[in-house]
Amino acid sequence: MNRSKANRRIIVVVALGAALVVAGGVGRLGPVLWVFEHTIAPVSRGFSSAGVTAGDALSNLTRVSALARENVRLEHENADLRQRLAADAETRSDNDLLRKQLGLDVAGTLRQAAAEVVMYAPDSYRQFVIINKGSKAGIVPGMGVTAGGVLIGTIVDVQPTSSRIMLVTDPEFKLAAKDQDTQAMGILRGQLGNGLVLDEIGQTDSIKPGDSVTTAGLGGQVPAGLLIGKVQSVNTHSNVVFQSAQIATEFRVSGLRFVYVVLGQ
Amino acid sequence: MRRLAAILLMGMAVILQVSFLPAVRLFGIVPNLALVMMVLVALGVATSEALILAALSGLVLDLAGGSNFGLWTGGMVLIALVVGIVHRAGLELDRLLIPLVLVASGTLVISLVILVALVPSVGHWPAAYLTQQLIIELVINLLLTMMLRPPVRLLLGRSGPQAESGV
Repeated sequence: MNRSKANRRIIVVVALGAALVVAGGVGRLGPVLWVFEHTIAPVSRGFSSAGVTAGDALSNLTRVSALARENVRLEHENADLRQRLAADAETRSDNDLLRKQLGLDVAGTLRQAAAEVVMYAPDSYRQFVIINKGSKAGIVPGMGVTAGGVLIGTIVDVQPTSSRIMLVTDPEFKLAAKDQDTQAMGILRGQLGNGLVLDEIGQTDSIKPGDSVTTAGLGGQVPAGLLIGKVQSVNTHSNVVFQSAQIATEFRVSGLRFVYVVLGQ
Repeated sequence: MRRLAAILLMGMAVILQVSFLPAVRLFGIVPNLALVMMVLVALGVATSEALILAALSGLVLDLAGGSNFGLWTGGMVLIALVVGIVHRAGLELDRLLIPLVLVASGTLVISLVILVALVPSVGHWPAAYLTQQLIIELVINLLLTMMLRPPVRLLLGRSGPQAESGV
């Protein structure tokens, strides 16, 4: 092959690559996405599952000494939660009765769609996953997604048989949240390094370590009351307008396999 | 046969990059196997073939990524082009230093582009954490390059872009 012919081939391939990027940028990759959903995604599903198993095994190996301590802590937490659950059932029944008497709608249970993670973002900094359920299952952008009882992210992009979730730990994640114990409102943000922070809490609001943080249900598709995590520490300075709090969540992206999309109530 | 091997190697690397590796997250980072494989494959096939593989694998990574659409396609195509330029410059492609330098540069550039794109939305930058992550990723990527180079060379042969005259 002579050099000019080779150069022409290179220019054609580079131009095609650029055209694909432009088409993707303006959302005109329909057929490519169809091929992607029906070829790459099913293959990567098996590898993702194997990865979660391998990650869990590695994690257990490195955490053997901490497991006994964690077990005791979880036993205490379990007992405490069972007690709160019993109290909550009583409150719910009273609440339903009062709502009926006042002619208000009775809050129903959440409608959820179970899905499996088939793909992850390929880099260390951004936190996205793709699941194997899409608009055919009733999923729309903005819906909340839970796993292990806590909010793990929101739907940002939907295809017929797959959806993309932006995880709460992504640096661009933002959602209205509140301290369930004191009703202090703030904006939940993801941080580089898998951290979570509840920001823009008013200086006069009360918030303390150990409080549960849940979704506020303000706007969008995410209902109020989904557990996010617990307050780990509070940053208060008298010379700033807002307080902020570090939030601890049980959720780890590396152990993520099955998730529930909250479709509504 | 060489082309088929190159396609299979890149395909497997891309699949692992979007499934197994982020699910394991060794030391909290995702090794850049796709980048490592792209460098090794580009050193073993003609530049025009490497470019096609680069564009397709980059597109899959971009579709899986969810942000900075075009970063992976651009990065992979750039790597393939740089390998072609390195060959044209008459540098000895058999030296281990060439893939190591390319992988290290690719790792730094991709990480920096991702982080720069986050500047408008991130208020707090944990510099120590980011430096540590970058160093770990760099070390793992370089180790992967050294481990995978012999089997890839065995499968693709030693000829490299010079297999076809011109590029």
